[in-house]
Amino acid sequence: MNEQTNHSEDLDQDLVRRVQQGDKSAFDLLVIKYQHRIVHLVNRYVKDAHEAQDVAQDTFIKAYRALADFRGESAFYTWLYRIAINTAKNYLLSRTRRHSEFELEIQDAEQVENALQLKDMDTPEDQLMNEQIVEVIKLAIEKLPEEMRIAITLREFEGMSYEEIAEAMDCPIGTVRSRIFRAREAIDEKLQPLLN
Amino acid sequence: MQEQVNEKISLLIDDELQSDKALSLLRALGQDEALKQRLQRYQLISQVLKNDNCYVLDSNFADKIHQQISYEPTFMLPGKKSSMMSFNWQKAGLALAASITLAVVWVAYRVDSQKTPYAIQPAIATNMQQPNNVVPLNPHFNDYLQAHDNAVYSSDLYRVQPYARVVGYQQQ
Repeated sequence: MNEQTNHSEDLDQDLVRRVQQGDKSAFDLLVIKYQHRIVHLVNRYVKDAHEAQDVAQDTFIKAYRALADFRGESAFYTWLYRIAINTAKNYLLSRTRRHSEFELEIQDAEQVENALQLKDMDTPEDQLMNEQIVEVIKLAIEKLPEEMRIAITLREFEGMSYEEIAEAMDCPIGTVRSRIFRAREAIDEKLQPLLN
Repeated sequence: MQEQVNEKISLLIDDELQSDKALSLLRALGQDEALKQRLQRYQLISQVLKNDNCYVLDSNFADKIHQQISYEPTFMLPGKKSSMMSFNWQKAGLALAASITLAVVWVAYRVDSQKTPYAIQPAIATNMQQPNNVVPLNPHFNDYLQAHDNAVYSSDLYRVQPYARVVGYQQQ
């Protein structure tokens, strides 16, 4: 187990213990930490972005309710990951059932099929927005100074730890930390106006 | 100052921030909407670079969960006892058990040394009633048993277990 995993798991264990001892605000911190990963995970099953967020919210609520039984035998995220997948699958099952019932009511099968397809897609506005975001981020990456681009690429594409990047780039770990942060700042500068 | 906080957010999403610092940062994020949005944008950048697709989280995503959690019961599970505490309890328990054993042994030894086996005979004799319908043991037979069974009978009482058994080593 590497150092970065240790940091994360220590923090999670601490937060879980606090929740189990009555500190609900500690759970908010777990939500802030994992919200993006969980929504992204659920989004692999539930294609609609808004529904995916609802399912992700359900995941966190279920996790909170089950937290009394969490004994820390696996990492918190692994445990949360399993809850997310089960919640997403159950959601899809119940949606299929709902559609089957609906199908009985209307005879036009083609109409139902179209409705299902539409359900799986974002609105045209959402799609356009998402495409723009991806474009802006890619463009911003291309314009980064080479050292920053390499550092953030190794981190995000290759999933390397800071220590491994420092070794690969033959520089101190503090420099890696700074390069990755500066890269994010530069990309964020381009992204922020779009989101506002 | 602000830049340091932003750098910590960058470290947090890479799991490179020490847990105590991460905890204080998360607390700050919970109270500062601008910081929370920055975290979401950093997470979005990370997601786009990793997966080449994106979705923007509702700004009140975490708030909705917070609201629902507020209606849920609060856990009050007991905290883990520290290993130091349990170790002390173990030691204290062992010490207490050892003390009681020592006291019992000491008291028994004192009683043994102060009273002869026969000294308790009158007490037993007065406390226990002799059954009426039992035939008394022949005194010769009793002597025989004492000589050959290595047992000393506490009294002439009938059906009373010998109060002490002696070893017949070098018995005359």
